[in-house]
Amino acid sequence: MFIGITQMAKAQDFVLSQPFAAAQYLSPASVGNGVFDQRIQSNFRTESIGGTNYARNLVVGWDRKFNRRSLDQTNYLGIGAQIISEQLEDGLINTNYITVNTAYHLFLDGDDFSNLAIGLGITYAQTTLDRSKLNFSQMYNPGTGAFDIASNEIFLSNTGRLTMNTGLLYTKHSNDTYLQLSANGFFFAKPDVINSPYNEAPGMRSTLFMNLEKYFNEDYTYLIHGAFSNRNKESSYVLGGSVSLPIIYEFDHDRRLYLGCFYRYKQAITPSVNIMMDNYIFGVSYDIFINGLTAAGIRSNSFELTFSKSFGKRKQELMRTLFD
Amino acid sequence: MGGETVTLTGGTATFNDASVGNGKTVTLAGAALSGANAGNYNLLGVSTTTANITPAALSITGITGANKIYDGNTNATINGTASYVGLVSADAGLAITGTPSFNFNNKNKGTARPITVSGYTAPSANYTLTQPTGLAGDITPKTAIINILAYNKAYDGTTAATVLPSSPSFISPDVVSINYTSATFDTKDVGTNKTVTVTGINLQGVDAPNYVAATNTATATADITGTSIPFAIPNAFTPNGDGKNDKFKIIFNNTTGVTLRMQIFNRNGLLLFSTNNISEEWDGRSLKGVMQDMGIYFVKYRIDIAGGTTYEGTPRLYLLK
Repeated sequence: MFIGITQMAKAQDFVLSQPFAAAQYLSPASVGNGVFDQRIQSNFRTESIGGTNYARNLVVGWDRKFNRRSLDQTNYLGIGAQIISEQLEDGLINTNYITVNTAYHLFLDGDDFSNLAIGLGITYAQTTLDRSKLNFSQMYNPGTGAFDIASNEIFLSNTGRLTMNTGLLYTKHSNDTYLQLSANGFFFAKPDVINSPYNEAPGMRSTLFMNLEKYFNEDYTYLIHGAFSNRNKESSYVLGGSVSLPIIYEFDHDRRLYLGCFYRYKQAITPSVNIMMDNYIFGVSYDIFINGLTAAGIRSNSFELTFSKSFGKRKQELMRTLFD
Repeated sequence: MGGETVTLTGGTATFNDASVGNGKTVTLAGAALSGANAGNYNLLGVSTTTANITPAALSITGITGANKIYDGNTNATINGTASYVGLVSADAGLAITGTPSFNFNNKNKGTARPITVSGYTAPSANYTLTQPTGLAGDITPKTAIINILAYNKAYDGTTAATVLPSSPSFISPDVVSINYTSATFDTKDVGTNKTVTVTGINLQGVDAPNYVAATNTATATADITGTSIPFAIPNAFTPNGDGKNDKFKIIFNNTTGVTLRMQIFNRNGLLLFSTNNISEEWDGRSLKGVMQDMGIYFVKYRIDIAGGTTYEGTPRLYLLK
């Protein structure tokens, strides 16, 4: 049903429990992938600790095959854009990322089952702060026991960071198999909000991942997603899988129910349920945390909802997959 | 004539007036000759003579020294009504004259302290007045009203109070200070108009014996401000090395008897920092020494304070750059 795996995450690289529902989050080279010409993908994730919410993430992406003049044309260009909104503490720290990606897909075989995509993206990130909720140590007034001294920090009036991302994606997509192998480099990070020459530049986040979905026993598929990420000496791992079964047998296999479980190393076990209804995919997952906070007796949880819609022309001979 | 015995007897000798004076004319009237040979003589008259009238001695009676409460000077008062002793009958009833003043021998408290009298005068030049003596009175200590000003303070986990005692009763330039044994709030907790009790009030200084404190225990009110929690937790820091808010730690008002256990996690639950050292600060780096990104972190702390109070919590911490 699933394969257990490993993960450990870098501090503020927010995690998606269903990253396969945000292709551009995984790789800029993924734009233009899939059996349809276009797709819209979205993830909404909420994280709580001690019963109170501290983070909400919304990821919305759109991408399409750009210059595919006919279904028989092989190589093509994919373009896409992705917006990520990360709201911490009810807006105390808000960061919005907008990414524009493009990828060139180069087919490697005569059956058009395998292609190699090279992707390039640009991300602009902007962060806003609610400074009124910040209490620095320097603001503490022993006379009143409150943080009522004016902050001596100088905040930047315009916070923005422009970064580039790149990725290499191998895809084998046939009528019964979907396999992706990818290597990527992301530089996007929150921009500086404090005026200081001493801030350290964020390092590159390098990622590797594998997506696999394959039929077995005619009507059933199994799915595996594994990912590795490293940034500034800190690595994370995730591996998990699902099985799918047809919801209604008299239709084709584009209506399937996925039951899966993913494991983020030293973080969480995430059961997930996904439903594919032709051009639509819905998903829900819940993180059962097994991280250091859990060990310290701090209860935390996370829900994630996903939705995607594909549209446009379809390569009928290719299997529909959750990674679409 | 020789051998005859004649004596002038009788008669009344009078001064020409009753006033004091020297060489005053004295006239004898009504005198007669007597003796065995008085018949041999015919008294035609008696010549005048002169004599002095000296002042009569006069003293004061009817007064006694009055006791007083210390007032910083030697001024005294008397009881009773003064009257002359020694007036001649013709002057009987003359009123006391002069502007008398009465002074203790010094200003300080004491019993039967002698009072010096001066300023009484004789009613006329015909008398010589002796000022009264032997008067005495007690100077008793003055009651010093004690006022206490208690100062507001920030919460420090104790009932200790700082006060400023004063008294409007002290007389300048007396040197008196007000000491006390203790000054304490009713409780150590935050509040307004809290009762501050001052005990063991006593007076010290050169002039202290002239006063007695109205009370040795007094109260006042003051505020304890701030939070009852004897520590504060910043929720943001900026580990960028610019010297401003570069590190995070819990701020304690008083570290006496405090033990701390603190851990810091990132949002993915990775332990980044752990300490039992109350003064150790987190510099924003992981256990591997990697500087963390801007975002939200979680502090888990347990603070034990001598006496049995324990505080625990998991506040959020914002790392900003």
